[in-house]
Amino acid sequence: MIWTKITYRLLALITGLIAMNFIYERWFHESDLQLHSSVINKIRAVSEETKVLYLGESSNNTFRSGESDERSISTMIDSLLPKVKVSGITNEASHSGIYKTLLKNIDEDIDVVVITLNSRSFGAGWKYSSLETPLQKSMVMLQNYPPLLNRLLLSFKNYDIKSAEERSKQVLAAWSEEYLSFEGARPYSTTNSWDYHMAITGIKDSSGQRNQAKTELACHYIKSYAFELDTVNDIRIKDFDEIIRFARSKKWKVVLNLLAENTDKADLLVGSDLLAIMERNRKKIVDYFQSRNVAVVDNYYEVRDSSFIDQNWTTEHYDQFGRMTIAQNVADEIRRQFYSKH
Amino acid sequence: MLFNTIDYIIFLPVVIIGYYLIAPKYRWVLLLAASYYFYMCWKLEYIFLILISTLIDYLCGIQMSKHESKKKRRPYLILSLVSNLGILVGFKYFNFFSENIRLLFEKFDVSVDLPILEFLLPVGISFYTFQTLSYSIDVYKGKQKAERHLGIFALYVAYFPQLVAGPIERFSRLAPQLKQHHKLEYDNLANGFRLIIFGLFAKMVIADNLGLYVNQIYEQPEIYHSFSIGCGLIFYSFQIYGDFFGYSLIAIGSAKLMGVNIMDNFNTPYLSRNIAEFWQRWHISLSTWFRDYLYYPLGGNRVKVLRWIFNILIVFVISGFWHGANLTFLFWGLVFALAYIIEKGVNHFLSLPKPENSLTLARLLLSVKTFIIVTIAWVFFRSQTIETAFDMFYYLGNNNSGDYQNLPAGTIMWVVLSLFLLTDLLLFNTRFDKWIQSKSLFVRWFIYFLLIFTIIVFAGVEEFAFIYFQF
Repeated sequence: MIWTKITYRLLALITGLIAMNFIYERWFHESDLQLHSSVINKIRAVSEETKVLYLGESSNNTFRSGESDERSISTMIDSLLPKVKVSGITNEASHSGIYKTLLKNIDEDIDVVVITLNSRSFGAGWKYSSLETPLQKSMVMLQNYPPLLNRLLLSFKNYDIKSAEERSKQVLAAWSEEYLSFEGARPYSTTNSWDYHMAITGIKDSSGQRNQAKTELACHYIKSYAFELDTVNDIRIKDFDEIIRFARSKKWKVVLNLLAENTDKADLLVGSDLLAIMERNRKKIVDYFQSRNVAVVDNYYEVRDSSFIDQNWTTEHYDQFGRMTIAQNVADEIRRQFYSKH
Repeated sequence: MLFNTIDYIIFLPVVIIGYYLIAPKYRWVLLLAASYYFYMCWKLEYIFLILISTLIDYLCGIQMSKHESKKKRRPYLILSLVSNLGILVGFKYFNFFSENIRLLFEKFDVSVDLPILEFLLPVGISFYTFQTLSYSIDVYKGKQKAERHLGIFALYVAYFPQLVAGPIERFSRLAPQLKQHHKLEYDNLANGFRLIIFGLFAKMVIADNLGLYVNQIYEQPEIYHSFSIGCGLIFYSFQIYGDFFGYSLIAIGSAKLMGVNIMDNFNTPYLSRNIAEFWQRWHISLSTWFRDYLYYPLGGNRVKVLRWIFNILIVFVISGFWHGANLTFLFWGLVFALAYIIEKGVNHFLSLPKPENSLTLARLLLSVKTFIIVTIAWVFFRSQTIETAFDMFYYLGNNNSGDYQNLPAGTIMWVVLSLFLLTDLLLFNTRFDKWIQSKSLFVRWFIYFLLIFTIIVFAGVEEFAFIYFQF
């Protein structure tokens, strides 16, 4: 008797939920999308003729004011491949976890996806950034579930939700607990201790005075690049693996665009220890994805210090020459691999 | 683990199914394991505090039961009080005392370097500490037999539906139910789910949406118009009500699914005629705790007037301090104490008749007065510092010109708030599960679907932890 009652009520509930999903989709879904996941507009803006889709973060469309060519990297690639329509989706502070969800919302019949691969995004400072919670939140409504279920997941906060304080603790834990390897003994063994060491010793100018601005920037370079990439367990790598699997299931070709880092400045401010770690991480990334038959455009050392827009911070924001270098390399790779007849 | 998460939506049915599948005599094992898991999801290591508290009170209870005379029981009661309150003071009040002692010495130009402990306050510590204390005191007084089954006692302390924010249950009510062999009954399931759904509505739709506006007002009161500040203060009254009432309903509903009846914690408090009645309707489990274990032992109202005033002040100030180690909570307690004393005095001197206990116009008018007093008190409760609280009142009185901003509360907000006010009127002196039982099948299911749809579609999307978790 009780089971019959429960069964009838469960059936009524399921029927009600289906009806609610219809009502929600018809009258409420779009406004929720605009409110919580406005990135959907960028996906919708991708033209139907698109054959190459470029996914990037702010590196794609940041330019120096007064430049004669303010085009984004993806627009430059489009002009370099005149017979193929290239479109770009730019979402600030994105990484593989975000690209994964964005790609699952692409309906267009595309051939190639170019995904920005930012080596800094593998570091703790980015992985546990306070931007991560709003980014993850903005992806919930874009999952491939019925709209009402997506809204339920958003209402019940079913995403990686952490306060800025919790994120900061994660970063500090990674910086103080993950060990760095050097050739020979060093007075530091973790990002934290290296940062501390740099802050204490400082960078001196020609007159022997401590240059506080340079010292702070050097510390920032250490915190951005001093990490040992673990290709087995890293969440970003796992997300990229999922992207590759998904792209292959859709018969898309994947090109990973490894962005240039300011190695000139890293060398100048911190020196060979940091460059060695950066090189080790670059090699791990390239080897890992090439071993999985994914095309990697290695731009790591391709842009010189003068082409980096932000001289007082670590970013991958390039001037028009830097952007063109990246665009040219990506376009060449796409042409060589997939459109050789063009 | 929070009640308003997918984790709990999965956790609860798994526990309930397991509960009815396994043999009744082993259910305590499942519930204890589930309760510890529930707590450890928040912070693993703090489970040891619950274990220590449980073991000490269990052993003290056993030892007290071996002696007839109170004199011989007393050392064990003291041990229980000192250890429980020691943990509570250590974790919750140490920094408060440390900082205030330092400031006090600073006034006399004496520098005292007292340590500041940097750890998270264990969630629910004030609740389970009070729950175990009530057991020890009852055993000491001979009102309660000591529990010999360690598992059942541990479950009483850690029972997950009410572990982190109450209701603070007495052993004599909860433990027998935990031992009872409950059968799967449709009414328990139905009422449990009804309470959970209404609780989620109160928390996620009412409290979390209001919280957004309240935060804006409290962050920058100086830029808002007096009217908006007034709305913000009223919104907070409903935010904290929706938040805690919602939490309590989910707790009661979750236990109900297992056939366990937890005491009600709220009974339409904003429809109270006076402050005394408000405290019979708001956080009932805490106010009855203070009544039984502090107010009555102090003499209650069967003492001279001055002593009675002293008793009231003590109870409210300690109640304020129970909520948090901050002067704002002491002020909050004082506001209630003064309002309580003044109201009692006025009623006594004017020999006012006691209004009827029904929903009359007189009650509604009186409840507006009570609501205003309570809303003033909540300003101290919500503010981070005393200065912020007084600033709120200052801006409320002075930001009258057109230069100030209006609070951008949307239509949906006003609609759901009105709906909540209406439900409060409908639920006067009754509980949602009882009220809805009396409705026809069609009306019942219409309300269920309306609530479910509202929870999913109109829930606030910013994270607001349950306010009382911090206590």
